[in-house]
Amino acid sequence: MSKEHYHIHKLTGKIQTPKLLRKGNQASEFTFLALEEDMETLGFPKKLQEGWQDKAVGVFKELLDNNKALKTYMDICVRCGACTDKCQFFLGSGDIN
Amino acid sequence: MDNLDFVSFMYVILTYAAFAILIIGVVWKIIVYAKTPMPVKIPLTPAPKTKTGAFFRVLGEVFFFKSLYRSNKSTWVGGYVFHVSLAIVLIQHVLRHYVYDFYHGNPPAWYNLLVPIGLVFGTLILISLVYLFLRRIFVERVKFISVLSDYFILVLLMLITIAGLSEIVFQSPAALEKSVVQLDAFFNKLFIFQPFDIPHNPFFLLHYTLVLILLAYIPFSKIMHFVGIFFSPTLAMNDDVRENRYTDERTTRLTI
Repeated sequence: MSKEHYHIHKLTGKIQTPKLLRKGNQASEFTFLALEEDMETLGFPKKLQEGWQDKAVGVFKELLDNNKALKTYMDICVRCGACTDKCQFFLGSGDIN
Repeated sequence: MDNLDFVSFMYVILTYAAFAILIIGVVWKIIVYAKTPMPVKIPLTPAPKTKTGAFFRVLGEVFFFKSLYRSNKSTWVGGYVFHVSLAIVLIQHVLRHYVYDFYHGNPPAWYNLLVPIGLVFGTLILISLVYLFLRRIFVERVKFISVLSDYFILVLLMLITIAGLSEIVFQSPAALEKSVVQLDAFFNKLFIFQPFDIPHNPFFLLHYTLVLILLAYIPFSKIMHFVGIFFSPTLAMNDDVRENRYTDERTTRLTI
């Protein structure tokens, strides 16, 4: 990965809301795949399998049914944005996702 | 069920349908929230140690939006003004009906204050909704997290308020009073399942249709936050895990 694609978020001492860049600083843009021998040793599949979307949704549904916090908050979040300028992950990485 | 005209017939059916969807939907969601297990206590610290403390924390949220005030005062202004004005207008709606009935059509002098109260607080609702809408469009981080339903609900509430205010502003007080009196009969008869004619005032019908849409939409939307706040583990749990161990047996069914 060439360095000019990255936007490295600088941390000064002050807490300030990072700018919302939509390219260049998101973890999803630069995925590093695991080595196939390592996956084989651990017993995991080597490549992305068929029907992974349904499996992922199924896992999320099971989480929803077993965690009152997740279920309630997914329903009632009013998207007021009061959390957005305080999220430690956003403040630390600048990644808006 | 005698001699209802077509419009009244449609509105009676729509009213019963909207209230049925609202009541059944909200009760269903309450049951779902109550039944979902919570494996771990996660009250946001500093957390109260007793159940009474947790109770007052939730009350502080409900009546003053305390956590929102401490986190983002400019949002708190918009949200709080909207909710308080909406509460006052709803109380005014209900009060107008019951005061008229209680005094058998000869209400006391302060009854005439209710319409100006509706006008003032209705305008406040509209101003705060416009403020929240502009904030959702122009503040970058809020725009990023918003979905279509957020804009839709703001626009729907604004339209309801405009329609309601137009009833007061564009009609003479006598015409408004006339439709209100007919409306009293309509609702009284609805409660005892003997449908009655609805006033055909176009301003009123527009306002009422939009309100019915809102009522039917509530169980499927984020407006359920009025229910969810009581089930929210970060607010309603007390922090006594060192004294009394907290377990929830229902979480053992998790397979992941």
